[in-house]
Amino acid sequence: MKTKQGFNIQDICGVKIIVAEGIQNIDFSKIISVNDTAAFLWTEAQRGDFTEQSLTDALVKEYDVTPETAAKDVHELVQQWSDNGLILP
Amino acid sequence: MKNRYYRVGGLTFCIHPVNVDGVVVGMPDSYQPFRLQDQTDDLLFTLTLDQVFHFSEMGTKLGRFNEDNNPQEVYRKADGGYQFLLYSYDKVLSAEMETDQAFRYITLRLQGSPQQQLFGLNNAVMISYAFSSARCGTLLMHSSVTMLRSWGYMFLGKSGTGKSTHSALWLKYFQGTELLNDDNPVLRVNDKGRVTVYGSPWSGKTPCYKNKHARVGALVMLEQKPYNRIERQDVPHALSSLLISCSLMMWDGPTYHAIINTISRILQAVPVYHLENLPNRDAAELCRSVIER
Repeated sequence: MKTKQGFNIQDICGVKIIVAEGIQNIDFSKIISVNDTAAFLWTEAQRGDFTEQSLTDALVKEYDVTPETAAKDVHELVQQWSDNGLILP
Repeated sequence: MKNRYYRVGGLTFCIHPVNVDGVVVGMPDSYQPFRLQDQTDDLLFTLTLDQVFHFSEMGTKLGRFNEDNNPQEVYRKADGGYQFLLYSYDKVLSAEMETDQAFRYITLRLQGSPQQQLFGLNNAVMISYAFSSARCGTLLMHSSVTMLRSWGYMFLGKSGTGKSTHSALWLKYFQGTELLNDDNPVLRVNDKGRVTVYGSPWSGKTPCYKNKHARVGALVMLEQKPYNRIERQDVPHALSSLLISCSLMMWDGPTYHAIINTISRILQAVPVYHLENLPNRDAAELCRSVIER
């Protein structure tokens, strides 16, 4: 999977928010606020091709969390990104 | 015709006529309160009115946008600048405009009937202002603004949600209220984080072109509902309210980032509320009781 271009995390008054930019996203009107973990994973995902496994590995490495919990959280988050049209297969 | 200088929102711009044979209009009356006798400081932009100007070649089409039913087509030139085709209310081409990427130097040619030309000129100046001022902590905010006891209160909302109606309620029921602008005032945050709203030559259907300003007390996003209720918006919702209410230029990265940055600084200083309301006195009283400084 890949993240769509132009969806970057902005810090607005201390709140992390994914804001769409660029002509290709002109019809995207959602504002998506993210917590620290989701922000970390989005930045990871933006590095290039990613899988749920690669994100789970990154999450386990960075945070004090079991692989099972990490996998579950990542799965839910990727589903959310997908539902909101933020990623390409 | 000589150069004309105007100051709006504390920023000065120049209308510079060069070849104006065939121009049948002057500047709209709405600009008169903002006119300066001479240039006194740096210029935000210079708009050259040149009736022999033609696009040398068209850039890449970015899209056709319907701003308040006034279509505009935008093209990006190879050098990063932009070209605009501005259509009037009756869908007739009324202006061709070309600008550098920063919107500092703009060239404009008008066409059509006097009314269409006037429309094209006004629209071109408004677009030029919105995008050139973006780098100065400034937003053109689609809203209706009242002033009460030296504070400005800005009512936002989609077209037809009753922004003007809500202002009218304040004017009717709260003595000392004054309408500052009814459509497109200038919102600006300075280096110290103070947020000020300024009257502008752009006020929609209501002729209200005031060269006045006020410190902003609150912004209120209006929504029609069969009841009255008000609550403060959290950061994501407040960001959304301001983003959908200002002139955006998503296709230009630097401008877009400047706008997001400006909104972020405004949100640090001024509360944003969501008012679900009926068009009645109770709504205005409720709103005032919560937002007044």
